[in-house]
Amino acid sequence: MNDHWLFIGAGYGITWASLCWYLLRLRRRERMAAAASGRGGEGARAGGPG
Amino acid sequence: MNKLTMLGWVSIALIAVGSVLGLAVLPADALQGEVQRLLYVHVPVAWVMMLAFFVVFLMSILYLVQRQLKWDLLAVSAAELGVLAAVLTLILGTLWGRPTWGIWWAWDPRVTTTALLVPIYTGYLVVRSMTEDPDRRARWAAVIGLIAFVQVPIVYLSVFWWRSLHQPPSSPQSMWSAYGLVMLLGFVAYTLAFAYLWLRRYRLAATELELELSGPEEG
Repeated sequence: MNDHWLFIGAGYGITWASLCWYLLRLRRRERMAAAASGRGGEGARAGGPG
Repeated sequence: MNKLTMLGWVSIALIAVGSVLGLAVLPADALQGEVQRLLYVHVPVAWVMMLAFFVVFLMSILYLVQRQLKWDLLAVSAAELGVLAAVLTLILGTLWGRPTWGIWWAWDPRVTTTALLVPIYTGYLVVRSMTEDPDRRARWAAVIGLIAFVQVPIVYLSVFWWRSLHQPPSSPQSMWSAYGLVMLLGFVAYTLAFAYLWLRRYRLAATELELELSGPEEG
């Protein structure tokens, strides 16, 4: 039964890590787009969680 | 704090509450044991996958009818999240399948039809990079988004149509009410997370299109 927690931990961990990865990637692209459009930094401020 | 930011924080809070309830408060399932706790993330993520692809379908129709690029941008934003949710659904399924079915992967109809969604919608995203004309790109993508959606009801109905290793769809009626409530909380939490990421991704896509249409800066 204890090895079940390995599968549970992996499942929840991968899901949360993926959401964080997507959010960080989005934030990086927002900053790049804001910089390219001459609104440097606005994308970072517009962020929200992450 | 603007509304979108608030939506992000609410979804994080609900995911946290649902995870605590699912991991620490609810008792383990009598038959499956602890591993059943994957239900509270696997089923909501699978729901988000289907929702995202339905949004692609809907936005594709709207684009083809109105020919406004905003519908295309909303569609591609949902498609990207749908592919992420599909990959996560498969990973979570295989992590649940190993201790319960005894194997990491089965060519089960539900699993196989879900796996097919990944190359189909990745293709949708790849095709978009084949032309630089925003209108042509949107038109091609909308047609694919429309046709690709045929696969989604097949995924849902696969457990009814074929003799399957995968269980029928989980619903609050098919389980103890406390399990059902926490699963419903998961549906709400991950749907709000999807809405937050989708709208933020759309905003980015709109900025990128603006840059694309304005062309490279001179000097």
